[in-house]
Amino acid sequence: MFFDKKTRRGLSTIVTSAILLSAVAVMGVIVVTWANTNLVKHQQDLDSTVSTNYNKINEKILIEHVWFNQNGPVVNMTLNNIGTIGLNVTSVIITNVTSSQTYSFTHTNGGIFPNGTLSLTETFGWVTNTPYKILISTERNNQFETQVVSP
Amino acid sequence: MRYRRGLSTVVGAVFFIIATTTVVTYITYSMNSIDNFSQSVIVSESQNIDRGRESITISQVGIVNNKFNMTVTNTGSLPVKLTRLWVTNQDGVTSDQKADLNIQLNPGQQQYNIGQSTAITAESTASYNLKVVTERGNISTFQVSPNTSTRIQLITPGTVAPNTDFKIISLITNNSTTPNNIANLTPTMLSNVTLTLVDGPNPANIDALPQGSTAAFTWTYTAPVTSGGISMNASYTGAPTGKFVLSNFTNQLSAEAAAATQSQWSQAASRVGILISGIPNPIHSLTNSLEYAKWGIGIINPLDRDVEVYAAGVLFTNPNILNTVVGVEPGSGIGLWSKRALGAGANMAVWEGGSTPVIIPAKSVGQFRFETDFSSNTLYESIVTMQALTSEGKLTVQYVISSDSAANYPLINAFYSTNAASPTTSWTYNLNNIPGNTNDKLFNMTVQNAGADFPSKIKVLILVPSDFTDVQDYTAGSGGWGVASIFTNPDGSRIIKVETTASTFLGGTSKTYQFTADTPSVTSDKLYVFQTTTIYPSFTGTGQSELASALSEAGVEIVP
Repeated sequence: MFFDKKTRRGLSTIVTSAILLSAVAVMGVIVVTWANTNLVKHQQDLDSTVSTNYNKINEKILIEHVWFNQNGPVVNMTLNNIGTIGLNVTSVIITNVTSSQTYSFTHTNGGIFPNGTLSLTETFGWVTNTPYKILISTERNNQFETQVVSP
Repeated sequence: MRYRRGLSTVVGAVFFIIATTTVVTYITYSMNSIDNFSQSVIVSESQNIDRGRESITISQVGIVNNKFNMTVTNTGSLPVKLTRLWVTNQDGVTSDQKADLNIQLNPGQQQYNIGQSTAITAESTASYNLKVVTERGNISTFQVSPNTSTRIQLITPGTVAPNTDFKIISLITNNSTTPNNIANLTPTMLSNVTLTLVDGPNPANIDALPQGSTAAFTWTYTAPVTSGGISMNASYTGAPTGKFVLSNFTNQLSAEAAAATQSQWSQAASRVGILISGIPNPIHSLTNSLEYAKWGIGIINPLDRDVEVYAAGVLFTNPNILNTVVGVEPGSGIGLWSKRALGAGANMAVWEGGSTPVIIPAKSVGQFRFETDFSSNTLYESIVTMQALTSEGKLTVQYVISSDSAANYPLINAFYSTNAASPTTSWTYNLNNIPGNTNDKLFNMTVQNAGADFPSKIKVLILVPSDFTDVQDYTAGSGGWGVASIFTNPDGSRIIKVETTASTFLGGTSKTYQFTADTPSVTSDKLYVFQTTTIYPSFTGTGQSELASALSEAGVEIVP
């Protein structure tokens, strides 16, 4: 052993400590960074979930009036946004309850402001004195349903 | 060693702080997000609860001025804002109508006249469904329809007397089992005979008849003059087909009423007859006193053929009464008027046509008039018999007159005149060629005292046949007459009762009473008689009887 015993012990301790400290620091930074990233992502997910659900529960439609045009195969309906946020009607599905026949209609311009109304005209061959189920879907995937009987 | 321990602690502390801060921040943020969401859920649920606590009722709907008149009540515990009214006409194919509303209602508050200021129109004969929408999204509906379950009841008298007023009541009940008003309920009433409506329906209509309610409507009619069955049909405007009720009753005089008003002259003449056209009574019997007594014998001919009159006259059972006979009609050259002494028992004033009888054309009245002077020197109550020999047979009628030669005895004539200004020169018992369907036709009835002053008022009774309507007192308190009372008899005829105002009717004067009436509408000539009786309420004492009465039965010919 031709190294000075005293000097070798001191250097080894410093190097080792540096190595250990560096390793711990790197690992710590990695762990903290990973944890932070994870938490931010969770925060964003939480934000999105809360926002979506918040909007969904505040979205309300009143199917205010439905009337069958007796001069033709047309059904008119007036929707009233009684919720606190604007919404967008995307589809209307009308089902003949007696025969289970379904008529689907999509809408791309179905926005309604709060307290606003939207009048829709759907064309299909309705049958007199027959119950129909009307299902309204919104962009937020809320669904509102009513039933009417044709005159 | 001291340095190593310090560095490690610092590094560890840094990491600990970083980790702790991150975790705490995340947890805090999550808690806040969840709290916000919870608040949102609470708010949303609160809105749902409010929607559930909101309640409105359309308590009544009517139609006024062709618009809905609606009453809405806030029956919930929260203020309500009405935002829209929808109306669906269930009878037609017209588009549904809507109107925006902006009506705030506090709990328990009612709002009236909703719909009156909108552009939505309504008809009482149609069925409607009304829908009111609130801002929170609640809907209240109401049905307005005449086409609903109803019950109609009709209350009529069992029997009515001709030409008298009677009432009919119609009860209409809304029997609907759902909230349903009959809006603008207007009753209808039909009859199988022509009735004169005096009043009604009362009320004319009602804005709305709510479910379970009953409305009563009253009519007052005058029964027809002609007896017969009457059938009434009660319903309402817009009623479903077949929704009506019938009630039958009889229009006839009760036996008592018929007996009380028995007079052949209350209706149109139907057979040939002799009329006591003019009989003076009482008679002042001083020879050649102030004026002559006026007599008339009428022959009424309602037949479609002519009637020939060969002779007419008045037989006096007391031969001491008649002194002079002055023929007036027929005039000279047509037969001959004369006084004929019949011995101790009687004498007679008579007209005889010989070979040229008087022709009374179909549906007309003929009259024989003469004046007499009397020569009695004492009190007589004498039977007089009017006679006429016609182509339809011998006609006879009797009367009784009172006469006296006393200086204070009156001589009362009763007759009609064509000129009210000079009645004694235009006296007649034949009012002919009077146009039918004429309103307010004026008639002149004259009472003349051709004797001494008459210490009594004179009351006159004039029976106007039932076909004449709207009989009015034209004189009405003037010309020495009081205001007349006009009564309608059960058979529809009317009796005018009028009295002179002065307590003494001066000798040598006359008073003409005038009345008006709407003449009947006729398609061919129709004959009537104005039966006129005088009464002297104060004509009492020796030789003076309240039984004395001058009489005039004037023939009235109504032409189309």
